[in-house]
Amino acid sequence: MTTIIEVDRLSLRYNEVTALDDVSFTLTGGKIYGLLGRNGSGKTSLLSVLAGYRKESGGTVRVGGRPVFDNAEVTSQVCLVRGTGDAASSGIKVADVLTFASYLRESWDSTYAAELVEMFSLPLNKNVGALSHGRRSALGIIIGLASRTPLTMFDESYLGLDAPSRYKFYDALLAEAMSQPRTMIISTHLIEEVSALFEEVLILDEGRLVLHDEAETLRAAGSAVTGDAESVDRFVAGLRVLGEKRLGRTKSAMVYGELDEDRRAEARAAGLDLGPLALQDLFVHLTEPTGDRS
Amino acid sequence: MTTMVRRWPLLRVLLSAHLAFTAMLWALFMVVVLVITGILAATAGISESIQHYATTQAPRWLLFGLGIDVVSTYLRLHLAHGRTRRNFLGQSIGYTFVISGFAAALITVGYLVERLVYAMFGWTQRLPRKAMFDAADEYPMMLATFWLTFLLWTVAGLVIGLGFFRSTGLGLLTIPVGLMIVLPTFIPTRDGGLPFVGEELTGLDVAPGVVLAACAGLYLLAVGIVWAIVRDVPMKSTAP
Repeated sequence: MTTIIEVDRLSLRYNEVTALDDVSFTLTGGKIYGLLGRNGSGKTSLLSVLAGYRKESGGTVRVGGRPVFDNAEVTSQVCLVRGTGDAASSGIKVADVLTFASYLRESWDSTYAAELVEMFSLPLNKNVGALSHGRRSALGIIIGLASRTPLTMFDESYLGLDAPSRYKFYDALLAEAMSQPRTMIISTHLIEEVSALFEEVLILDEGRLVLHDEAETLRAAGSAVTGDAESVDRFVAGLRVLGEKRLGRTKSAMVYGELDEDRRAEARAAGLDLGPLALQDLFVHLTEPTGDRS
Repeated sequence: MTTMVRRWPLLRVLLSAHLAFTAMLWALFMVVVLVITGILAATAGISESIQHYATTQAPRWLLFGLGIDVVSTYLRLHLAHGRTRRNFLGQSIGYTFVISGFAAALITVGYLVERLVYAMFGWTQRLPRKAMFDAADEYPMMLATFWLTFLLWTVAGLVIGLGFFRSTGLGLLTIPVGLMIVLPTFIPTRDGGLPFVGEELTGLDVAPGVVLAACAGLYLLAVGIVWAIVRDVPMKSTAP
């Protein structure tokens, strides 16, 4: 099955609340996509519709050219792990969660799941409800990775993990993407930590898609100007500055907009370093309340 | 992978989770019944089936609870693994027949165990209250009575569980619907056991065919309600 994802004029409403409004995009598949947005921007709602957890209120959602909702041919190829995962109920032992996954998910890879259980040191005989938040997150990640579905989505699934475990997850995700190419969508708040994984980025704000582009293009859409604070201030005067950081006399300013060769030469002459734009700064800029946006 | 796993994965999950649990509770139940029987034999003497008092009351609540658990625990798991709501309907219906039949068989075996114990000590296993079976050794009728009863209590649990899965408001509305579904089971067991409602049904003298037809009609109604609720039910996020 191809995992081309076509979303056209999608809307989702809960009673009086509009969670998604006129969202349209196409993902060609086979990549790692980053889905970014502030709290309440509609990320979980969008992923829930893509996984068939919720029915769209309007518009269309197609995966591999077919509608998703309650369509076994599509949903069997899709796995969404929201938070610590819906497939890990608190009344069940970890071992049973994995056994039930092998019954219910045809593409389940038990050998790979066992490797991940060892990697995250999960106790198989413990009840899910007795696990720490971090270990429940690890269990959700195992369910997502070992599902080996052509479309796998993680919605803030690893927030409970400590830093070493998060890095284990990123390594496993990359290794999996290389050995078993599939489409992965990762929704996160830890943008800087994960952004290196993203090949394309979608940003939602207040239920609307405000940006969809390749990560490299976005990083090239601006520059990080670093150097002596006074030199940086002089250089960025008149440019659109998305954010600034300062440590002693050293300052880093994120500027939006491409710098031509003359400006780059000017920066070099002033002893300033030019680096790629941080996605997090671009994200903050794009999702600022309209009145505050420069 | 076996055909059972491929074609009925949720049923396999549910049965592996609930069959052993039900059998364990039944064994515990039998131990308690036999201990009470022993105490009564030593103090007041035995002249009737002790377990009959309990079997028409407590086990149906277990089946009702299992029906709720099918939704509260396993619907989420089912959908999370890419299975459909339509598939859930078919497999949960199969589950209600299997689990209620299994529980009814255990209860029937319980009467048989009790009969053997009574025979050893020369006691009489008389029914203190007639049900659709008149004597404690009418095993086929006994099995049918409990199967029918448990079937309706399990599907009532499904209906109410789904109501609350969808929303608290709908959940509250499904409580009287669930009660309506189980009311006919008071006739074959001759035991109401609920406050305010149903006691008048226990005295009705209704032909088994009529009871069966009423129960079948209500079961079908319950399945219709289950489908109406589950067919587009959203799976809401749970914290965290």
